[in-house]
Amino acid sequence: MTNDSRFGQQAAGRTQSRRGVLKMMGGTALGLGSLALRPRGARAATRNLRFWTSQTAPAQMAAWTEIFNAFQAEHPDVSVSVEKYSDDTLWQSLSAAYAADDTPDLVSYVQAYTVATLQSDGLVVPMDDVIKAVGEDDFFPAARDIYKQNGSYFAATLNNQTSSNLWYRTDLFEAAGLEPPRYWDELLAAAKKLTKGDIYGNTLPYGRTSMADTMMVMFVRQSGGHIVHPDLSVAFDSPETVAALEFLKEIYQYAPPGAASYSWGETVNAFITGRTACAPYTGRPIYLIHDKNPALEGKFHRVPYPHRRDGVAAYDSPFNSLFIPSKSHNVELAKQLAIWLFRKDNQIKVLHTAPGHNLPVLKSVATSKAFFDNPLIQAHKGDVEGMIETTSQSTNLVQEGPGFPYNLKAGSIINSHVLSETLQSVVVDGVSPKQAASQGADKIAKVMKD
Amino acid sequence: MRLKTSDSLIGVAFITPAATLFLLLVAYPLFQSILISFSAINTMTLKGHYVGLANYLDILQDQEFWRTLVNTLIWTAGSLVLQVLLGVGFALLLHRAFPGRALARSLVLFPYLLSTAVAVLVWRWLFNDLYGILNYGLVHIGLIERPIAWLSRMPEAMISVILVGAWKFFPFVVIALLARLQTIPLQLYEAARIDGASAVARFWDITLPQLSGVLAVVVLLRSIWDFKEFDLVYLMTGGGPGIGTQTLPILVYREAFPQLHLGKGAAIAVVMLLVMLVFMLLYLRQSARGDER
Repeated sequence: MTNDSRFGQQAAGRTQSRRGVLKMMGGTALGLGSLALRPRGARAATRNLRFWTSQTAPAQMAAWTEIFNAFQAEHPDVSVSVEKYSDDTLWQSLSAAYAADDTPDLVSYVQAYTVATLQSDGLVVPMDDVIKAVGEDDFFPAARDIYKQNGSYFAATLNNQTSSNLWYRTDLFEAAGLEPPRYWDELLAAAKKLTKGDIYGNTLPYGRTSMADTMMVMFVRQSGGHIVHPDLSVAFDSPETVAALEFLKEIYQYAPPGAASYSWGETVNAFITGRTACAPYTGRPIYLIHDKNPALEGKFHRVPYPHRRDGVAAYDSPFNSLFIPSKSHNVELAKQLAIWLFRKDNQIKVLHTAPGHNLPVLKSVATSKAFFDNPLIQAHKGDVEGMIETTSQSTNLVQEGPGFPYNLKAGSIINSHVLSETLQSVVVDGVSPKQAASQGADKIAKVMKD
Repeated sequence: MRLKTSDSLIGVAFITPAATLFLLLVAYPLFQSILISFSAINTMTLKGHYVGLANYLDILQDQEFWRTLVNTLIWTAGSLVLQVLLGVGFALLLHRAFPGRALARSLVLFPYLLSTAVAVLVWRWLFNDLYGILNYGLVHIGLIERPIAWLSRMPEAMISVILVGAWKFFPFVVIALLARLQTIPLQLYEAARIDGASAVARFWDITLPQLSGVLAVVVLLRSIWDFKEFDLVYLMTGGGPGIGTQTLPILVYREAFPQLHLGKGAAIAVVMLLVMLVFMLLYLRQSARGDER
């Protein structure tokens, strides 16, 4: 055998081997191709339910996993995947999902005004059977009826919270000889007195964000005004709105310098890091201070957010919803998952992941020993009970008060950021509160008309 | 010379994939965008109707559009000028021989290689009003008494965005100019030195004219890219405070998604396209001149 022939044999062997590899690759490609072309049901034995949530802190993810694992154990052909969205970009994410016909099957923690707008466009599935299965009478009426229209429920409140709390530093207030404020003028005086050195007297979100938008609704209502009249004409251009803007402008000088871009994160961070004497927020400071800054433990409390002295005690809640997008491919299964989430044990698991932040909407949960059986909720029992009381009095822009019809444009108003833009025009651009209220009203009217 | 039929078919076969991709990925979306811009369409439901030029008339009468256009021009021009100044400076520096030059040439690319989201996150922390090192340093050395709201006040927010944009994108200018600098004949500098030309004179009379062709292309390309830049500005300020740093791409996004006005968003995008078309024509003209040379 010559060298050449050996080389030829080796070369032939390599060629053969290369051919083998190519054949294998071709076979794999064909196999994958045929798999991709097979009908959906035939491709996978399990059906996947896509669950959207904004609550994905490690403890919350652990709770979702535990709850969904148990659901999957009862439904072996189903898998549940948790997908995160951000509160500030929810609307954009939803728009893209609907436009691409790629919606999740069950969405959680979306605020009432957004779901109302989706409902007005026929983009959600009725959930009457879910509410009935959970027990219609077990819901707190406000939490249940916020999603009731023409006798039918188009979503369900999974749990609730409110940012209409003023968290304040008891040590700083006591040292300054101040009582917790009940009215705006008292809050303003406290903010002025407590702004010293590294500490800012008060923090509020002035950014063009959802927090500032929802807080603006609260401020206008606390001033005695409304965003729309009961006939849904725009009520924003009013002396009450001007008074609210004047107050917000005045107290702005005692806020951190970057407050004009503050949203949820910045507002709560300013409080839990001890850089502000008071701030509005949900119940999150209870566990955030415990986890991140224990030095402040025992030095803070909450009161209902102060209101204008001749205004009204008005509070705002998001009514964290569960809804099923109309483009879901698994509606019945999504309803079963929704009912599963309302089981008492699952409710408490979720509520305990963020003690004090999320509050019960089922009476059976709110009065249960199991709900209060949590060290942080126990330690802040008064604050938690106070927040449950506040949420029971809360409303939302979708229905500003008794006698008001359902405002299906509430979501469009909030998501257009008209309200926070109005606030920013006063504190950043120096527009007068009167002119800003007038300009804001024109913009709201345009949104209502669109 | 006439081509054989088989040659023509081969030619068609070669061009078909590229033409198909062009039609699918460029022509069709462009045609769709223009079509949508003449309609009022809800982004969620994708339902709508033909409105003719109403979207265009609406945006041209909208003060927010004009303010946003001005913002876009300020951002583009400000960022571009700084990128060119930094780019030329660093390219000249890195062209000189010094120990560690290879490492320095690699490091200068760092901002360009870094993901925009990560870069913005870092800069936002640096600018933070309560915990940012920038404010901390300035207060500590006594230059300011209270922290500056870098991202929440005007014009600070626009200045901050322009600075970060220049930092992020100047390495592109460096790469392009450095490549050109290495091809300038050294004899030109030697002759100039013999004639007694100073360093400044050599830069103005030799380096700059030699760089001008590349510099023109770089400026035009970066103008187009900066004009349509979305992520950096959006992540830095979200267009705020108010609409102080809102640029046209952000306005398109806001109209199409939060406001659900897909048609109006498309109309703004088409107007943007027309503006960029001017830059593109200049670029093509410049490229053609380069080819002729």
